[in-house]
Amino acid sequence: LFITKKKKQMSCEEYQEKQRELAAMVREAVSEGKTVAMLDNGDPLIYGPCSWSLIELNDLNTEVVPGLSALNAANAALGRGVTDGATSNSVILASGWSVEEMSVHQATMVLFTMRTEFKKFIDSLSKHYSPETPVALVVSAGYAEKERVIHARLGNVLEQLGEDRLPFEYLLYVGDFLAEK
Amino acid sequence: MATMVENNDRKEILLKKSKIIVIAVLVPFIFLCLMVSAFGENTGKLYVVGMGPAGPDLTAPRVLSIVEKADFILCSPGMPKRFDRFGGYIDPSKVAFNPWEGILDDESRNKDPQARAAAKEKQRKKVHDFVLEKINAGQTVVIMDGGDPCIYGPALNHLLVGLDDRYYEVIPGMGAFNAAAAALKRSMTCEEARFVMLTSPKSLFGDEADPKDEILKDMSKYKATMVFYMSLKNMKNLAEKLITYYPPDLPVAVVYYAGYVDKESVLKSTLENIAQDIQQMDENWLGLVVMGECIK
Repeated sequence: LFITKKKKQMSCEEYQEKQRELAAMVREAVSEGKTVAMLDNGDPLIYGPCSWSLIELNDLNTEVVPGLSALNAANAALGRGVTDGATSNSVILASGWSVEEMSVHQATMVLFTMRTEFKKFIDSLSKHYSPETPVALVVSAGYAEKERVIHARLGNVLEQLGEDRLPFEYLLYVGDFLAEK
Repeated sequence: MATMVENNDRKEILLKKSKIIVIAVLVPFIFLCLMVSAFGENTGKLYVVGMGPAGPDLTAPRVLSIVEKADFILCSPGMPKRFDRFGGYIDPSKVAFNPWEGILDDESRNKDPQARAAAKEKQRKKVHDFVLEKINAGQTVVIMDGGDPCIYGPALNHLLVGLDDRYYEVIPGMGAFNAAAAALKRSMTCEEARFVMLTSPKSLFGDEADPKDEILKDMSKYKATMVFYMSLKNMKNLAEKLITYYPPDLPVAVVYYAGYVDKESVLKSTLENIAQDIQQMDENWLGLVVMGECIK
C-alpha cells in the first residue's frame, strides 16, 4: 500500500475521504487473509501522518514496527545529549500551536515545524526564552548527503537565515544543551 | 642501413621519452598515495553509536557497518551477552574494555556518593586516554550505547564530557521510547495531546532534598504524553506526586523490555492503581513509564 505525496494540499474533507478509502482497502485485504504493510515516514508514532490508521483499524489487531524517528537522527547530527541541558534535563517535543505555553519552563524543546511559519515559532519562543538561548536547525536529518546543521541564537536566527528558504524537512532545537562546553 | 640506424635512434629517443613520462606520472602518483595514507593515519575517529533498544533488527544498518569496521569496541558486558543476537556484527576480540565499569553496574549502586564520583572521574579519564591514543594512531573506536545515545545516554552525559567534539561522531539509534510507543500501538502525539515530554523524576522535581512542583503543576494544565526514564522502584513516589495534579483515571502504562521480540510486555493501568499493579510484575527496575490520554 503506497501513499504518494500529493502536490496540492488536500482539504479536510478530501483528506478524510481518502482515509476512508484506504481503510476500506486495508479491511478488504485483511479479510481475504492478506498481510498489509502500511509504510509511514520515520517513527509513525511521533507526529506521523498515518497514526490515524491505528485508531481507525484498531479492531484488526494491527502491529506497529518501530522506526527511527527524525528526532533520533537529528539528535545524532547535533552530537549532544538533548537531556544534558544546564537548566533542564527534560525534553519537550512540540508542534506549532503549543510552543508558547511550553516555553515557560525553559526545558529543551524540539519543534516539529512541519508547515508552520518559521518566524511564528521564533516570535513565540522569544516571549519566554532569552535572545541568548542557543538554537539549532537540523535540515534533512539522517540523509548522508543532504543533512545540514545550522547553529544560532534565538535573537539572531532570523537574521542569520536571511532569505534562505527552509525545506519541509527540518527540526528546530532550543535549549542550553547546545551551548559551548 | 642509414635508415635502420635512424630508426634505432628514434626508438632510443622514444624509449627515453616514455621513461620520462612514466617517471613524471609515477612520482606524483606515489607521492599522492603516501599523502593519502599519511592523512589516513591521522584520521582515526570515535563513533558513539546507538545500538537501539533490543536486537540488531532494530539497529540502524549504518551503525552495524561502523561496528563491523571498527578497530576497537567499548561496551558493557551486557552487550557480549547479546552477541548472539548481533550475530556476526561484533567481533569479541575487538572489545577493549567496559567503559561503564564501576559507574553503571550493580557494584556502583552500593557505593557512597563520593566513591561513585571518584569512580566516574577515573573511568572518564581512562576512556579519554584510550580514545585519544587510538585516534592519534589512526584507528577507529566505537562506544556502544543502548537506545538513542542522545536521550539520557551515559556516554554523552558523562564519559565524553570535556572531549573535543571534533573527535567523535554520533550515529543515530532508536530509543526505548520509540519501541515503547510501538508496543502501545498509539501515537504519542494524538489529537488530545500535541506534545510529548521526555523526563525523569529528578529533572521534573529537582533535587530530592528540595523538590519543586512548578513544572508539573503547569504541565498538568495541558494534555500531553509524559515519558518517564526512571527506576520502577520510584513508581509509588511518582504516583503520589502526580495525583495532586492529575485525575486518578489518567492512563498509565509501563512497557517492559521494549523492542525485544520474546520479552516485551505492556502493563496498562491508571494513575491511582499503577503503584500497586506493578508489584505483580517480576521486573522491578527496568521499564519505561508512559502517561497520558493518547495511550488509552
